Amino acid sequence: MSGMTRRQILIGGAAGTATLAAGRAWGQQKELVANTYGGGWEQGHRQAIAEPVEKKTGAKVILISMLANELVARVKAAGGSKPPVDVALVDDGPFLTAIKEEVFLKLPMDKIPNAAKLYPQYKPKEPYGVPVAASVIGIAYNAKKLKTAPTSWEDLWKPEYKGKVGLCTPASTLGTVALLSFAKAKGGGEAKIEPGFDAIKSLLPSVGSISSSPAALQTLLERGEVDIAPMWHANTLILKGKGTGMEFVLPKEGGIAGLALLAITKAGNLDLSLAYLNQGLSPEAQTLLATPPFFFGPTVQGIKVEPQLRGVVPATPEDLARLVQIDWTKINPVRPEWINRWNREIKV
Amino acid sequence: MDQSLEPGDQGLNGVAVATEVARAAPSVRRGRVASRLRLWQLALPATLFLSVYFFAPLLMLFWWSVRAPEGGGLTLGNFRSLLGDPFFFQTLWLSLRLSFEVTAITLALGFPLAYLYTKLGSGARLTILFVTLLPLLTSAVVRSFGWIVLLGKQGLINHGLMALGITDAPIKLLFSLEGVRVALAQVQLPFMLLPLINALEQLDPSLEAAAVSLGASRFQAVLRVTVPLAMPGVVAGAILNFALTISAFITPAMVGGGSFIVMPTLVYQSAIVTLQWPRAATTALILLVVAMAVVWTGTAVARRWQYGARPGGANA
Repeated sequence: MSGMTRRQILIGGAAGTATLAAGRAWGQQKELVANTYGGGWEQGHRQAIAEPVEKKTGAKVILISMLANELVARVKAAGGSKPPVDVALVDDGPFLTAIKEEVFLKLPMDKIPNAAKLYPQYKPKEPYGVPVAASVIGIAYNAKKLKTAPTSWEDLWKPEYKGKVGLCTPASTLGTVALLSFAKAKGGGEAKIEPGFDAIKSLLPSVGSISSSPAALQTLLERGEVDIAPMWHANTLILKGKGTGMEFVLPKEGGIAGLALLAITKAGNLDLSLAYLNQGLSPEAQTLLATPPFFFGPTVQGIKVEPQLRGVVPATPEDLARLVQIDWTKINPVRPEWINRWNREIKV
Repeated sequence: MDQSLEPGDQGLNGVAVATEVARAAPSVRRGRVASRLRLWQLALPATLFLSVYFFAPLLMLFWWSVRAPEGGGLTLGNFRSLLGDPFFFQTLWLSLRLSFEVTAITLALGFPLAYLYTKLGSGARLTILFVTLLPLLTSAVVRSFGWIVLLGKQGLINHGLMALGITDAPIKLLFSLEGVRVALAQVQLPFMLLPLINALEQLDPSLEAAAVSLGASRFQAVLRVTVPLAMPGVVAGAILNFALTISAFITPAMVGGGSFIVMPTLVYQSAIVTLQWPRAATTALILLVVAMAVVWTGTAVARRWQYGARPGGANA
């Protein structure tokens, strides 16, 4: 009986001490949660941003995988309580939605010294985020299987590509941009999407399949289910690196620039978050992210760009000028209508 | 023993109180009433859990669907705009049809398999269970990529068909309703199989033998004795399958691609992509009500087939 008690006391004491110690360690080590889009994004941001921040601050950086739309919806759902991330990675479209929903913090730019070197053209109008990577939407095609390379959006209609064209629904940024690009090529635009839908409908006989996400479309290109599609440059270059024969071309109408931005949520850990943003814009991080297998376009000046990226991702303001900028402030209000209409009218 | 386990909260621990009171109960009748009361307490943790994590969110869903967008007040505008839209009904119908079809497929595959299971030795039983449960061990995303590899134009099935000279050009299997049906039936087969096995195992094998000895053929014996007696298993499996299919999101999105829309896709688009939460809540609520109506109707109809069922559902 007394032995039992003594053992219980010993075990209890040990457990208590362990709990206390663990609690103190946990209390001391600060945590920062940030999202990426998974895949190359996660790998790149871990190496270029998270690990250096951990080294410098002693804090623990946790990267979770969440796409921009979902992230904005979740942060909004958290309301005033703790948001799912401290630092958010979002595309320019959802970024504007997030600002409208007032879920991001206005950034004290003087506390992010590396932001001084950002390309002025990339800077958002309001300081709610800093661009961390430039991407381009163009045409991905399999050079091993298709004899002639496409040079323009119009080429997708060529009879030789019949049944081999892939598309993405406008529920994704990629699909929205493609729809808008078709509209623009046929004389429409943000305010006049009709020509875009007409173009998609006339393209349908050539379409092999429609994906619901760029990741799914990437799989289809890799599997040879489709051989040509509007696509992000990074996904295409990753496929090229796998020896699939995938090539990326900018259509003569111009590729479409897309920015990924880092922002800080309200009620997040401010100091650590600022350190994360500053690291993301540092020359070493930007250089690392611009190399294979990541291929992200730098957003700060003076970064040397890999040969594979030259002519694809803007390395200079002149490169940038060749790209088409699209106006998400005009797209976001009408996008639900586009998606709704696509649901009804576009079937393969 | 009980006392030593719960020094703190005798009030909530139903079992401990039950033992204690039963020991001291002065009259049998009072003891019985008290024990029924105490048995109710056993449901307390689950009730609390469900109120917080199920009923409260459901109420919020309802609130979102009827709340007027600007300022206070209530509105039926969300219901009106959705229910007045033919496309919404097409989508609802497609979801219902898909769910019925998948349920029918799993029943058609599951019943013979479950029947076979009850006639086999333990080794074969384990194999059946292992093979049918295996798909559940992978995530829906990985599984869907597997289907892309199998069903695609360059996939295994089409390559096989073309190598055998059955077709010249690849058949479209991926990004079609057919593909989604097969993929969902595969992963949901265990949810049909397990309740069926459970129901069939409880049957006395001599019932079938008796039917045969009274002149029924083997097939008749199964159809007119075993099947009706296994009805509770069929109903349980069908409800599970129907509910799982009508709420499935990833498989229709990945195996079906962007070529058609089911109800969960609509909910996702409104909730996540366009941030139209009232619309998302209304869509989800309508889906829930329709699904519940189908399940209730199905259960009621199935009861009439059951032997020993009395009007009023005394066998529930």
